[in-house]
Formats: sequence, C-alpha cells, structure tokens
Amino acid sequence: MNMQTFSIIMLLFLIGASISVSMIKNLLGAVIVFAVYSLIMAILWQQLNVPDLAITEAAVGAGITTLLFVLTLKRIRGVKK
Amino acid sequence: MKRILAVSLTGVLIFILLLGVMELPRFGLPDNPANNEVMRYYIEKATEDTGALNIVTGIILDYRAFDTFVEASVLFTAAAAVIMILEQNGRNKVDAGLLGESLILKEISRVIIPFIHIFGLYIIFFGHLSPGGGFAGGTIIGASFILYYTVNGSDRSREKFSYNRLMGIMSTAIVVYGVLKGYSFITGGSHLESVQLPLGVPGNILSGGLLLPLNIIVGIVVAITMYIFYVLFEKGEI
Repeated sequence: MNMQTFSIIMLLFLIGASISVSMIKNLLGAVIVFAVYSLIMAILWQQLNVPDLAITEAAVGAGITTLLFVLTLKRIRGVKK
Repeated sequence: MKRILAVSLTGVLIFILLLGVMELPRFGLPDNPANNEVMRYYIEKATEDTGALNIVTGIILDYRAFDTFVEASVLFTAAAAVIMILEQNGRNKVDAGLLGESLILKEISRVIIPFIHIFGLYIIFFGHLSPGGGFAGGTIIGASFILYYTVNGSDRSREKFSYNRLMGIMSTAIVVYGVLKGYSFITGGSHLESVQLPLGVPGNILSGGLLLPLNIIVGIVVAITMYIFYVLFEKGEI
C-alpha cells in the first residue's frame, strides 16, 4: 500500500467526519467527531509536507478547540447524561 | 416583503462575489501572481539571511516579524477583553477541582505534566531548526496548565498562576518583542539594517540571531492566553 492510497483513505475519513459533524444530534458526540476531523487533517498536512501546520493543527484544532467546546457545552448544559 | 428583500439582496451579493471569483487566476498555473521572485528569494536566501533551517520560522519571525508582533498583540487584546467582560470579583467559593478529589487523576497528571512541558519547550526552542515554533509550543504548554487547573482546582492553581503574575509576564513579553522589533515601524518598513545578534552556525540551538528569543516570547504569550481563556470561561475569574 503506497502513500497515495493512504491519503485517499484519510480523505474519505475526512469527508465522512465533516458530514457527520453537521448531522449528529448529540452535541458532545459532534465535538468529539470534530476533534477526529482535526487529527485526520493533521495527518493530511503531514502527507502534504507541511509539518509546521500539522503540529499546530494537532495542538490547536484537536486539543484547545475541543477543550473550549466541551467547556462551553458544560456551561450551557448541552451535555445529555 | 421583508423576506423578498432579503432574498434578492442575498442573490445580488452572491452574484457580485461570483463575478469576483471569475476574475481570479486559474489554480496552479506557473505564471500566477503568487509565483513571483519573492517566493524564490525566500527559498534560496532565508537560511543565509536569518540563520534558520526552518524557513517558515525565518519568514514569520524575521522578514515578517512585525506581522507576528501584531498577531501576538491580537492574542493579548483578546485575553484582556475576555478578562474585562467575564471577571467577577468577590465570588471566592472553595473549589476542589472540576473532578473532585480523584487520586488516580492527581498521580497520573503529576507524572504526565513534566513530559508535556518538555515537549512544548522542545518545540519552542527548536522552532528555528525543526517544525514548530512559538504558536504550537505555546499551545501545548497552555494545555498542560489547563490540565493542572482541571485536576488540582482553582485554589491551588491560583497560588501558582496568580492574575498579577500572569499579566505581568505577558505584558513584559509583549513589550520586549516591541522593543526588539519595533525598529521597522519607526523607520518605515526597512528592518534589514536593524540591530541583529550574531547569526551563528545554522543548525546550532544558539543560532539565528533573534529568532530564539522571539519564539520564546510568542510561546509565553500564547500559553498564558490559552490558560486565561479556559479559566475565565470555566469560572469567571482567575
């Protein structure tokens, strides 16, 4: 399996994740899928030879953004138990 | 009537924007305006001019240092605005942490936080040699501060990260950046003749002139901003 096949699989995952973010009714689930989207995007940046952006995407997109989203959900009581 | 007006206005706006899109050059052609001599100059001369093996850091912290200064100021302004809006004095509840007294979380975080710090510091300090830099490393260190806050509660983190200390460090960092790179603002854009530390041998950690101190400054500002955002959104005070 060469790297192009890998990239195509990752792109399919990316499309699936981005569609399901807007479709999922459970808000916490949507936030988690959004973090998955950011991680796949970081892998794709790495495939495109942009390691700087990959590191920033993994730290900001998957880390801090998810934290702030979960915190906001907690504040507006959007998490269903 | 209002609805018809809104729809027609939106249609007109879409039409105007699509007209603008049609004027754009086609994607990926070799003689596009983006492929000019500036890009070639950066790729050929960046290491020689700035002493950075990572050309991205060389560009954003040397050729475009003033833009990065304004970006850091944007973060500072955002943190200051969030403090102004959200801070509420005199609400000092005793708080043992978001997750209560969890022994497992405390011990695990005690082990894992030094590793996160080392990784963030590595990304900041090697910003001019390998991928990374102040923004990414600062975010990672800020995340470790947030982990400390989440596990240990606001009372214990207030001892370590007090409001005055955080704002003092952040303002000092911004002022130092401004002093180091404000030269180009005064002289009207020509900063290549400004004061430079010796560039050193490209590849050593102490090389690249001002890149290493500027990376550290940007990392400090980003880390403190992330921490302040989280704490203020969580509790309404630092």
